[in-house]
Amino acid sequence: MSHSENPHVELFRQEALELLADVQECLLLIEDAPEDKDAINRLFRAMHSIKGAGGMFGYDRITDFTHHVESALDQVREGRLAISRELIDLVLASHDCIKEMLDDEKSMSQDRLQEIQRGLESLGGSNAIAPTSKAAIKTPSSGLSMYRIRFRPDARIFFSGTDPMRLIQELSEMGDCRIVCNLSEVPGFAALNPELCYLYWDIILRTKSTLNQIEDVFIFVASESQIDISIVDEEDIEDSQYKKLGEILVERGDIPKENLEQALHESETIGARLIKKSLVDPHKIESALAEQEMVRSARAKRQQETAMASIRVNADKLDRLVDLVGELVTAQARISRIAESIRTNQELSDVAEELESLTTRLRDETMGIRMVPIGSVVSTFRRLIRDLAKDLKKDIEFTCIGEETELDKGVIERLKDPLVHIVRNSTDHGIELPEIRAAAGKPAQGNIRLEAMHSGAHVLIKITDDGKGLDIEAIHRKAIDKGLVSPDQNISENELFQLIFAPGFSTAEKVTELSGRGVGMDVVRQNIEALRGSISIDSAKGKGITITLKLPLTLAIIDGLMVTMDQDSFIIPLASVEECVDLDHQEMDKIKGRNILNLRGVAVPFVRLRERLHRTTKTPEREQVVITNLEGKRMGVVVDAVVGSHQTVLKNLGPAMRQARDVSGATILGDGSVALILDLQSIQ
Amino acid sequence: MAKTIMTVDDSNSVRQMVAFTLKQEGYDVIEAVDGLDALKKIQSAKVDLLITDLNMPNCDGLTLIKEVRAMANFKFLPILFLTTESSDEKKAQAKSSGATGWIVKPFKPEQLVSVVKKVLP
Repeated sequence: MSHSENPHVELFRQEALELLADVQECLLLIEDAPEDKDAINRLFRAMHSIKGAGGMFGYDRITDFTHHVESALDQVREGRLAISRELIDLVLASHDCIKEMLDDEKSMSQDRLQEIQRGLESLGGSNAIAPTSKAAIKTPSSGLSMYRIRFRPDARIFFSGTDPMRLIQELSEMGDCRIVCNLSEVPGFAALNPELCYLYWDIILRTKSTLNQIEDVFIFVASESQIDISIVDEEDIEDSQYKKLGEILVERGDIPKENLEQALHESETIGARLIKKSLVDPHKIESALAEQEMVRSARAKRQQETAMASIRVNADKLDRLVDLVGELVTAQARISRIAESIRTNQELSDVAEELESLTTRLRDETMGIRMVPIGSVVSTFRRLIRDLAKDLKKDIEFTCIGEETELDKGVIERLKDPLVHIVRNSTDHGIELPEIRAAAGKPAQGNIRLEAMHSGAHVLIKITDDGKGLDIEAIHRKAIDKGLVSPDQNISENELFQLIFAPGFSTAEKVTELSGRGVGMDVVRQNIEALRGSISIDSAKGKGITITLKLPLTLAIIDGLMVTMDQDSFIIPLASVEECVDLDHQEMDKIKGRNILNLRGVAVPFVRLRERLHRTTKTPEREQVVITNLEGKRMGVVVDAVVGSHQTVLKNLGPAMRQARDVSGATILGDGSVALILDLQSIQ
Repeated sequence: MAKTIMTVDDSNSVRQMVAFTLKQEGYDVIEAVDGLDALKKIQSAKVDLLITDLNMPNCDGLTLIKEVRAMANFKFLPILFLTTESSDEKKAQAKSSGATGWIVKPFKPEQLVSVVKKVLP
């Protein structure tokens, strides 16, 4: 291991050398005056420091070894081991070994270290306990378990600097959690000391974490506080019933068994009876009921899952459902508008608000139903690659990660062709023949990997091959030939890669030999962009190519920002909106026609929607700018006014409008009028 | 506003490593070389967490913890101590002196950060 590049490690080395010098000095002092307590303490502390710091800077062998020396010295310090010539010789020898290991830890012979260790042991400094590992090894258990936790902090817990709420929060982050706080021990106001903790908590936690991990949450308070943890339910229990309330209370030790039996003879609910008889306080009942409910519902859910994992529904029915939800969203938007205009009617506002939240939930649920795992498409690739590779006499392994990632059915259907195209390219042009690969020092078997993962409101799909990659110089030459870049233009590697998506770039006959990519990457890009997605490429010559597709989760309904211009409404996809600002006309005068906006000191280019759409109406006094961000590129869109967020049901423009620029679709607003959805990619 | 953490250790390298790790996490760090130094510096500082070694010359960790805990400002201050042994005796001593929790040496930067996050509100 080379430590030299890390300045902290170098610092440690320096310090360790100083400490070693100290060790040597102390040893010599002790040799002359064995009763010198100060020197013994200093010696111990020096070894202790070397050991403590060593492990942090990667010197694990020093730490292990020093531990033995330190243990012996600890015994000396406590008077259990006498100072002898042998001891001093051994510690001096340890000093030398540590010094050598500081220079080169690896080449130190294990025998030499062991010899010293054995020597120390034979002197009686033997009971060195191996340094305990830092933390219990956490093996995540496979399934979900339900734990019952009672946390009764010490009343003086605040004085140890511990905030019990932090611990409860930590627990609640581990899974599904029901927390019942018990107030029964809080005294009256006169007797209350605000610096003491009178509360305790019952927590029912459903989590994948192990008992060990839960205990770790309380590790610092375990000695003073009362913490009871028990497992009340595990994945493999199938019974949907759970213990009765009374049983839970007895099990928790909240009531004695006799009291329960006595109460059971009467006819009200058991909880009410126990409270009435003040056999148990209401918080305890509440907490036990919470446990009962959580376990029961978890079990019921599991049973349901096994009983009815899925049902098949005709895809048309789903499409109709989505259409209807779309109409519902539109109708709901109308109601909201009306409710807003009649502000005086509180009842109407309430209903409108509730309707809005219900519609949003219904929308999300419905979209969820349409989600299909990407694995359904991917399976066809295995066969495709296998057959192609056989024809081409190549050896290719196909791996897929994240097959379970879900995408809207519509997106998946339209994604298949572009994906086939990319995978085919990788197989055909990317991966080399086995003998060429072997000659280049690569494994003979090529690899194509497809990875799918969620990223916010998008899904990323990466297709990586370890083939010959893109020839950046050839692309550059080609781009110059085609007049896409001028010869003296300074262009980044990344920008060059993106050129292979340029229309016509890859259709030229020479393409295969220069880039190894087949025809039609521009078509792939068009397809992906039609899905409101984007595509990017990264490559290293000889190492392979990664193509990344970024796709929206759904096609049907998006969150949009409604703006107006020239009496018309437009929608900007909210996911691309950063903020809205006023356009300062005075500021505009300064920049004189250059469409650059000063946004808190950062220059942001902008587009006037009015000019862009060739409207000739007069610009209003006040204008607003929507700052959009598309893959890191910011752009302002100047509009007359920003109205607000709007759930947008996407409608395609008819075939006649397919060629329309700058708009990607339309939506129907609450008042029945149509708003166009701006296509930022094209505007940019 | 960034939280301020005071790290007390007579080992320069450990102190630097702790300070470096915490600064990277966005905390402000005040360093002190031993208990006396820490007691002097903490009077005038707004400290949200104290991390101290136990074994130090001039005023060791246990004494420091007791003294700090006794100050009105720091009655409820989270205090962590560094210890090499997982010896329960030392831990119990430090806890009864008013410490919140501990970090067992040697530790990796991630372990330090996770314990700091555990106790720092």
